[in-house]
Amino acid sequence: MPFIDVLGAWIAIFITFCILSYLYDDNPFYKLAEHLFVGTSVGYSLVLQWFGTVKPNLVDRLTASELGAARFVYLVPCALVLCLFMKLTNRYNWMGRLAIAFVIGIYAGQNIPAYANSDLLTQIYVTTREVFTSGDKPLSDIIGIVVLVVGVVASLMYFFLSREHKGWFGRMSKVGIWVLMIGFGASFGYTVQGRISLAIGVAMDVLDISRPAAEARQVHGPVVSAISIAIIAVGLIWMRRRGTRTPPERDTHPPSN
Amino acid sequence: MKLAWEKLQSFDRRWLFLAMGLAIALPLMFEFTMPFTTSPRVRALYDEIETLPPGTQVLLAIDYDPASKPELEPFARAVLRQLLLRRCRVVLMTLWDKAPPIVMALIEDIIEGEHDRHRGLFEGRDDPPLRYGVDYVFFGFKEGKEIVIAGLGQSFRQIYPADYRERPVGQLPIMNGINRLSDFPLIVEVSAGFPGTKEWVQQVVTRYGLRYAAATTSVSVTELSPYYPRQMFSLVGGMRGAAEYEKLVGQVGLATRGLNVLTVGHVVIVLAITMGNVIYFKTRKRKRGAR
Amino acid sequence: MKQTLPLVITFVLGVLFVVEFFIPAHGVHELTALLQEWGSVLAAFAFILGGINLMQANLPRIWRREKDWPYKVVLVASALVMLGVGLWEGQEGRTFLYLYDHIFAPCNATMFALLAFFITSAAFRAFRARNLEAFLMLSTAVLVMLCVVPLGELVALLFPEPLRTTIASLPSDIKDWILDYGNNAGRRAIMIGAALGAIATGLRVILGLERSHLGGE
Repeated sequence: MPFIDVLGAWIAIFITFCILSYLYDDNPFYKLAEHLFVGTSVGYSLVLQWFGTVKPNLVDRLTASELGAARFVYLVPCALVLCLFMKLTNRYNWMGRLAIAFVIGIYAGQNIPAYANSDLLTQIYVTTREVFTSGDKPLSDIIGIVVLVVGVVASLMYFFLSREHKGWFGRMSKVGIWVLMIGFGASFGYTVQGRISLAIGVAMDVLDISRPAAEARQVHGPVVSAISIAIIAVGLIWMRRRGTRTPPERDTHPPSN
Repeated sequence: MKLAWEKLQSFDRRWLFLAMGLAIALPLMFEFTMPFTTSPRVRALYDEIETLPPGTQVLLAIDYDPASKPELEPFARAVLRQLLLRRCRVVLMTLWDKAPPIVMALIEDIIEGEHDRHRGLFEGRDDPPLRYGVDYVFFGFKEGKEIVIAGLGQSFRQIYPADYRERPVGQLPIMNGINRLSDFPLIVEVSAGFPGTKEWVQQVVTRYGLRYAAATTSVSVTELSPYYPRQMFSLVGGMRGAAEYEKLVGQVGLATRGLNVLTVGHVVIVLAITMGNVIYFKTRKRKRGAR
Repeated sequence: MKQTLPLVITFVLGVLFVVEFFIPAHGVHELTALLQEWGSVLAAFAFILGGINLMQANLPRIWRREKDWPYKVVLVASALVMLGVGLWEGQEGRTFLYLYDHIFAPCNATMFALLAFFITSAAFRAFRARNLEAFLMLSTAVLVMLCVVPLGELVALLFPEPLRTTIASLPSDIKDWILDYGNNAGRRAIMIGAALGAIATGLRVILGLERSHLGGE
C-alpha cells in the first residue's frame, strides 16, 4: 500500500472522529466535516450525472453517426433541457414548466397502473388468498391469518375519515390502531438493527477490522483513532478557553410527560 | 429537592452515547462468532441460485452507498461469489450515483483480484478465467429512478446504450438475447432505500412477473414485507440476513463478525428502554401521590 | 400558452403511459422507452440545476461574510474540486476515487452511524408505555429486537437435542410471524391507502386539476 493511501486512511479516520465529536457537542470540527461532506457529495454527483446519463444518453446519441438522421430526434430532449435552464432567468422562467410537465406526465402516467397493480390489487388478492389456502396450515399460521385479515380491514377503517369513529366502527378502528402500533413496533426493532449495524461498520473501519491484514499493519487504525480523539479534544478545550466555541444546540431538557 | 428517580430522568444523554460506543467497540476486540440459524426467506435465494444452470444471465442491481455498506456489502459479496462459482453470467448495474466505486471495488476484489492470483474464488478448481463482457459486466449508474426502472422493463438497451467503460451494448457477448428485464431468468437487488426494492416491485416485478429477490437494509424490511413471497421470493434483511447468507455460502465475513456486536448493542437498547420505563413509572407514581 | 402547453404535455404523456400498460405492442414500448430515456436525461439535468442553485445560495453568503462563511467556502471549494477532478480524470480517475474513498465515504458512513447513538437516547427518553397503544408498540419492538439477534440460539446451547434445535429456531419463527401477520396487516392497509392516494393524485395531475408542480394552485 503506497504512503499516499495510508495518508488517505488516516484522513478518513480523522474525519470520522470529527463527525463523531457531534455526540459531545456541536463544534467547528463537526461543522468542517459536515460541509466537506455536502461539498464532495454534490461535486461527485454532478460528475456521475454527466458520465452516467448525460453523455451516453444525450451527447453520444447526438454524435453517433451510425444512427443517421434518427439521432436528430434527440434534439427534443435538448430543447427540453434548454427550457429547464430557463428557470434561472426571470423573463423566460415559465419555460421551465414544459420540462417539468414532461417528467411529471411520465411519472403520473406510469405510476397509476403500477400502484394499482402492485400495491392495490395484488395486496388485496394476496390477503384474501391467505383465507382460502389456510386449510393445511398449522394453528399458529391460522391465528396469524385471522390477525392479518381482521387487521387489514380494521386498519383501513381507521384510515377511513369520512365516517365518524363511533359504535362498532369506532371499536374496529381502535383495533386498527393496535395493529398499526404492532407494525410500528416491528419497524422500530428493525431500525435499531440497522442503525447499530452502521455504527459497527464505522467501528470496524477505524479499528482496521474491515481492512486486509497487510493494510492494517501500515495504517494502525487504533493508534490513529486515539491521536484523532486527542487532537479534537485539545482543539475543543483550546476553543472553549478562547470563547470561540459555537453555542450548544443539543437538547438538554427532560422529556415532557 | 429532586429525588433520585427524577434526576435519572434528566441525566446527560452523553452517558448513553458512551455506553453505546463501548457496547460497539469492546466486543469487536474479541474475535468470536455466535451460533445462529438461517430463515426460509434467506434460504430461498441461495437454493434458487444453486439450481441455476451455468451460463444463466443474472442481473445484480447494487443500489446502496457507503453509509449502508456494513449492512449490505457482506451480502453483495456473498451472492456475487456464489453466482460466479455457479458460472452464472452477472450483469451489474446501479441507480445510485454513489454506488459505482463500490461496485468497481467488488469486481476488483472478488473477480479480478482473487482470480488473477489464483486464490479464493476458484481455488482448487480447473475453471477458465472470467472475462469482462462475457462472464460479467458493469453498466454503471443511470439517473431517473422509477422512470429508468420502467424503461429497463421496456428496453434495456435504450436506457443503457453502453457499459461503464463506454463499450456499446451490442459488442458485449454477455448481453446476447437480453433486450428487456423479462429476459433475465433472475434479478437480485441490493437496496438501501429510494430508488430501490419498492420501486422495482411496483414498476416492473409485478407487471412482468419477474423472478426477483432483494437484500435490503433493516429499516426497509417491515415496509417491504407485504411483497414477500408473492412479488419477491426472497427477502434478506440487514446485517442478520447478510450473516445468514454468509453462513449459507460457507464464508465467515464481516456480517458474521458483526453479529455478536449487534447482539450487545440490542441488549443495551433494551436496557435503555427498560430503565426509561422504570424511571417513568416510579416518577409518575410519586407525582400522583403528591397530588 | 404559458399555462396550457404544460398541461397539454402532462395530459398527453400521462394518458400515453397509462394506455401503454394495457397495450403489448412492440412499437408502443419502443416509443415509451425513448420517452423514458429523455426523462432520465432531464432528471440528470435537474440535478445539475440543483448544483448551480447550491452555488447561487452559498456564494453571496461568502461575499457578504455572513455567519459561518468559512464553512461555506469549504463547501463550495470541495464541490468545485470534486467536480473539476472528476470531469478532468473521468469517473474512474485515481484522484477522483481517492477523494471519494477518503473524504466522502467516511463522512457518509459516519453521518448515518450517529443515528445509532441518537436512537439509544430516544429509546431511553421517549419510548414509554404510557397507554395500551404505546405498550403494544414497545413490547413488539423489544420482542423483535431480541429475536433478530442470535440470543435464542445462544440460550439453546444450554439444552440437549432435540430441544436445542426447537429453541434455537423459536426466535426466528416469532420474528417471521410478527412480520408476516402482525406487521403485514397494518402495512397492507397503509399500502392500499397510499396506492389509492397515488392513483387519485396521478389522475388529478393528468387531468390538470392538480397544478402545484407547475407553480400554480
